Amino acid sequence: MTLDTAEIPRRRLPLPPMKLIRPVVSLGVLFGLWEIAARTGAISAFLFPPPSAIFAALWISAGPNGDPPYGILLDIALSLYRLLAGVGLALVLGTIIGLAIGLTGWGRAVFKPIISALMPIPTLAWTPVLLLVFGIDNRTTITVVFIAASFEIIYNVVTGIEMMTRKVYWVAASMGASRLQTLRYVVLPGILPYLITGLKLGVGYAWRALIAAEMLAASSHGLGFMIYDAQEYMDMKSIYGGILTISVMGLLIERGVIGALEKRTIEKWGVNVER
Amino acid sequence: MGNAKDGLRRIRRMLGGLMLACLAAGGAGTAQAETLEVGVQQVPPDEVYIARDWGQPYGLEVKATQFSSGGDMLKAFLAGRVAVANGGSGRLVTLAAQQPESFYIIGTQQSGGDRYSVVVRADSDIGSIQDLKGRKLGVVTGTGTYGTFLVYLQQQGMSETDFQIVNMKIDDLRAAVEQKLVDGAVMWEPFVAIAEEMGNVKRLVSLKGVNESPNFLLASRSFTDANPETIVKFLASTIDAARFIEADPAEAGKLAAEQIAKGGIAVPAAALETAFTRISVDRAVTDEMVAELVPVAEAMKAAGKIPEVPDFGSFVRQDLYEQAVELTRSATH
Amino acid sequence: MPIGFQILDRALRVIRFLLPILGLLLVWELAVRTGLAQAGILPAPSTILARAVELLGLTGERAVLFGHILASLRRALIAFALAVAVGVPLGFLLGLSEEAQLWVSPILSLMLPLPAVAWTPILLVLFGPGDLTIVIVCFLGAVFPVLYSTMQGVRACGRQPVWVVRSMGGSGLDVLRRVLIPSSLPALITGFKLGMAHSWRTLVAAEMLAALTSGLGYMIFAARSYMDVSTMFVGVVCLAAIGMLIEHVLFGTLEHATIHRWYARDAQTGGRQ
Repeated sequence: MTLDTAEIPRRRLPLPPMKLIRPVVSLGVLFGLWEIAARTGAISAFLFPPPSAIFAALWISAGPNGDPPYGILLDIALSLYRLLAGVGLALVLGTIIGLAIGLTGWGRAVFKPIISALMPIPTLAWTPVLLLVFGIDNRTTITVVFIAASFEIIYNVVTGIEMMTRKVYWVAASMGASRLQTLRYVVLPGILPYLITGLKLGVGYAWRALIAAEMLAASSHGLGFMIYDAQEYMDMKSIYGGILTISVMGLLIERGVIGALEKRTIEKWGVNVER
Repeated sequence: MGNAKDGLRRIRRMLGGLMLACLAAGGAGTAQAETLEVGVQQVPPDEVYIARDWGQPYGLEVKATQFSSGGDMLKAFLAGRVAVANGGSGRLVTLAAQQPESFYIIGTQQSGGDRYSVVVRADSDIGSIQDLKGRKLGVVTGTGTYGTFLVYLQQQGMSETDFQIVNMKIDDLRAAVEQKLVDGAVMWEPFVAIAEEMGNVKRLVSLKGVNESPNFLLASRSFTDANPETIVKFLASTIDAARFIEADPAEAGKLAAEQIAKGGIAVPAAALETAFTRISVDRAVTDEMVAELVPVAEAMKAAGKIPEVPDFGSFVRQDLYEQAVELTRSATH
Repeated sequence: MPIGFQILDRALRVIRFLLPILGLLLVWELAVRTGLAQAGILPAPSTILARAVELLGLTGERAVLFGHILASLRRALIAFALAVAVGVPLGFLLGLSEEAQLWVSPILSLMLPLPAVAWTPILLVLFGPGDLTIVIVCFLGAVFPVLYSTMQGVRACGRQPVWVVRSMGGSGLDVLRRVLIPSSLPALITGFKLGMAHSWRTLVAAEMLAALTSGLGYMIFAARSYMDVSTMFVGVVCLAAIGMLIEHVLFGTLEHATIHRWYARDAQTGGRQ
């Protein structure tokens, strides 16, 4: 008996979801057009080097042949270190201050006016002052990160406390909870979604502020300094490569790291944050 | 009996003399104003230059654009946005090696080792450069200042490895010394004088006599070939400004301070006066100055940054300078 | 409450708000006067105020400060106007077409973690320092908030109002005028507020990197160069103060006149975006 080929069901190749296809295609089209335009001379290949050249330069810089060796990896590491240090500080101090404002009368009276006054100040306006006090040091950039992230965290913690209903306090009090216990078992879990949102936003601002501060501080390495320095030598490939790296790193941190955190906590618990 | 170069010089001189006659005739003030786009930096000699109309006795209208960095100025120069700029040391060597057809060296903007100093805190007990051994020294690497400092160290039998070299920007050096982030710093005028005036810093060593470290006046080659008289007039105007600074540094200091104040920044005029006593603004280009570019070029060639050591002498236009000197004599009696 | 008490109450609240801030300023002033903080690094508030008065031309020197403030404001406003001109139409287009938005979204997402100032090096090579570079950078900083807010405003508008207008014979233009624009107005205004705030914040950094001879950023860095710390601080304070003015006062009143009048519930616009 022969099998009629027409009867064999054809297996459909599983396509990756549209969610993944679209970014790949749209970015691919963008880079593709750019590559063609640069190579054919439609746009100046000096001012807009083709993406292939940009990636090649990035690849070299990430290896031992770069100038300096592993240059871009060092820059990434330094920027990340500054971000982590600043955000870490902001998380600790910001939460403490936020709790003080939200829970205590004196905290609100003392800190709220100061925070409200300082918050709308453009973060980078602090940079010249910090440069004067700390010089071209990691402390300058870390402080900028701290400023950018802490305001967002404080604001969100305070909002979180304000959003909590009084009933949970009553429940805790009715069960004989002390102030410390109320703090640990009621307040902290209650503000956690807001804290994480604040962290996400804070990290976003902090990353952007860090890059700008690195550009201003100059001669202290890091991604921001790298693209600013490249401009002095008209090294367009490094500039574009740096910009791409900054974008990708920022996305990875915001979506990747904090997104993962969100998934495990907020989304899992089904808590929605009112913004 | 000279070689071809001498002959060329003589021909240039004759032509120049002819031009000068015409210029002198017209330069009595009745000539129509020519215009020249000039790039200047935010340094005191340039502030004095833009503070007054030095081109007026020669019928020259100078349009000056001030740049906050030498790099920006040279980029504008190469793009043709200004016809005159200045540069020295590494940048000039790069320009000579990569774009030799783009410029001439027509004069000197600043020179003199006295404009570089090593400074320490006013209350520190450091008495000599040897005392700084092993300590932190703030510098701006890649500048002519640092290059001169290295030569000085060589002369003293030391090297940069004797110190902990910390690379910073000039803006931060004074504060770093004050805050003890570094024990000493290598700075240039006017920042040394301003820091001294502010009270917290004292001069440990002056690098006078180590070398001249000249910053040359550069003119666009195409523009100069087409309008040599304009360049001569410009040189004459800047010679006048230089003589003014040399003759009366106090007045020059005041003028520069006023000019800077127009941007809203207060600089003590006394500091600028001190700075002017330490900067040489003699516009003449000497062979020794040109020769100083050679070791810089050789180092860059060894580092693979340039293919060959350029013949710097071929860039220099002494004839234009000599005509300018003549012009100043005929214009001002 | 009788009117007298109301005023007193208001005054007390203002005082209670200002007290910690004034306290901080006092601590600062004392720190400098007693030598705890070096005047060459951190000048006293009184010194800064005196210098500001000088720069405003109130004591003889020319009113230089005004010139710099105007230069900075001009650049930020032009950039903002451009951002609105480009962002609003584009936002409407993208908001209306789901497909277009899904395709463009990846590219936009890639631009989001990038500060607008990061484009400054490229622009410096293309155009050199000066107004053009600064305005373009601020434009890039302002256009994304405007774009996103417009898109959100358009998408939030339900289908029914559109159907109603169309069922009454309304043309596309009518839909735009009578449905889309009014319903997306709160989001648009939020977008404008964010856009202007971002334009100013971007200006702060862009001017320090790319200004030629005018603007607050230029004044700050030039003063830093010449070690004129009090002028530098005057510049920083001006940057901060104008930033605060923009974010609090300017759009607060606009919101009051439009959103709060038309909508019963409070439009919670959320923190400092």
